[in-house]
Amino acid sequence: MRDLSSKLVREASRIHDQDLISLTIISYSLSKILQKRYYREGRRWPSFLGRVMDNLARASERLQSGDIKGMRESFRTVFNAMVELDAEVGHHVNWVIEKAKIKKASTLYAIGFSIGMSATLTGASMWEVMDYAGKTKIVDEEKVTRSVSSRLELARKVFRVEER
Amino acid sequence: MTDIVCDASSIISLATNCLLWLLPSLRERMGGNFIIPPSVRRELIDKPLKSTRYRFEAIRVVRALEQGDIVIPEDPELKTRVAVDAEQLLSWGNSIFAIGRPRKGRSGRYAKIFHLGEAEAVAMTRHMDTNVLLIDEKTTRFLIEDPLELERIIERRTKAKVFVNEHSLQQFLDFTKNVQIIRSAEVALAAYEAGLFRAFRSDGIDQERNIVSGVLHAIRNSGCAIGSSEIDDYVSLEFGEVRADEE
Repeated sequence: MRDLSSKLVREASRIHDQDLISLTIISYSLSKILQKRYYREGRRWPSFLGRVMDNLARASERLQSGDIKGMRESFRTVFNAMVELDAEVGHHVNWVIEKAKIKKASTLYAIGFSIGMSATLTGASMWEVMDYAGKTKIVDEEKVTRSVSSRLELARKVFRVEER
Repeated sequence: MTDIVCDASSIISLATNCLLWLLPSLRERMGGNFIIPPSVRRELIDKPLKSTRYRFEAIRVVRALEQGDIVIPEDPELKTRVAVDAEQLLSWGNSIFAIGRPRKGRSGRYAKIFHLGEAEAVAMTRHMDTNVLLIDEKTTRFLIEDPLELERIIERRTKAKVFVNEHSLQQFLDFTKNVQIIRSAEVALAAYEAGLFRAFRSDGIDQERNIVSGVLHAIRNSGCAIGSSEIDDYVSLEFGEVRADEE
């Protein structure tokens, strides 16, 4: 599921498809849910699984028949099922989906989308995305576009600070 | 007098690290204002106030606005001019890179990487008699300073060929050619050099180094796009050291 989510987010960045980004978030969230025994062993698990599987199948059918609105409705039902499961069984409030949104927004940011666009596309908070991305090595893997001395020189000039 | 236009990312870094207190002294030194575009208010204040996670940080931003440490211009004519330019910048910025070969008549193939808040901040530099943009996120910085490096990043991370629309790129670069970028890291460093961190000092050079290194790492951890090697370079610059790789 995680691999699928990574592939989907790359594809979503290529074709800029909001629905694909929703699917990416669903896929990543489900992978996190499946990892945790306390979700799988809860009494709600069978009904949750049934609801998710049914609606994913329905989303696929609706997409194939060109019913995009219906497909989105099915996605919404899957999101709601995850929120309800998380609220009842999860250890953190609304953790799974929010974490998935932040993670996928950070991936879009690493790909080259701006922080504002990454947050908007995934529905994540810009504050959360910055906090998450700041703790990754994204920037270390990229070229320095201006030397530190020239950038500091500009700041000194603007704030009228003399070089020490 | 110099104003500085700030986008949301830089204010987020400063607010998260409780560094907005630097702004009044820096404003006084530069004789200008820290200005944010109107649309940034939603991301900086309205949204975090609705959640619990960053509510208090948003309150710090509200206070900075109330005290005039950060300013949102109210002039309707200015707002209109900025909105028009921002739309134009969005149109150019979001039609530069096509991930995979673009097809005729399918503008959707271009990667829409650039957002209204960032576009408004860039547009404001033209209308506020300043060319200084304070921005911590990396994509807008790459677009302005080295768009071909951004092309390489997108190619590397999507594992797909990226095609560049030279016309859109040129238009974007013509608009932004005078924009000069600093990050909250440089703001903090200039504040340190201006003595604003004096209250944190105790005896010994190590404490000085820890202040500089500590504040830069804190800002980076909050999302400012500054590399570890840049932080090391800044610490070396401040304390007059030659780094091993320069010897």
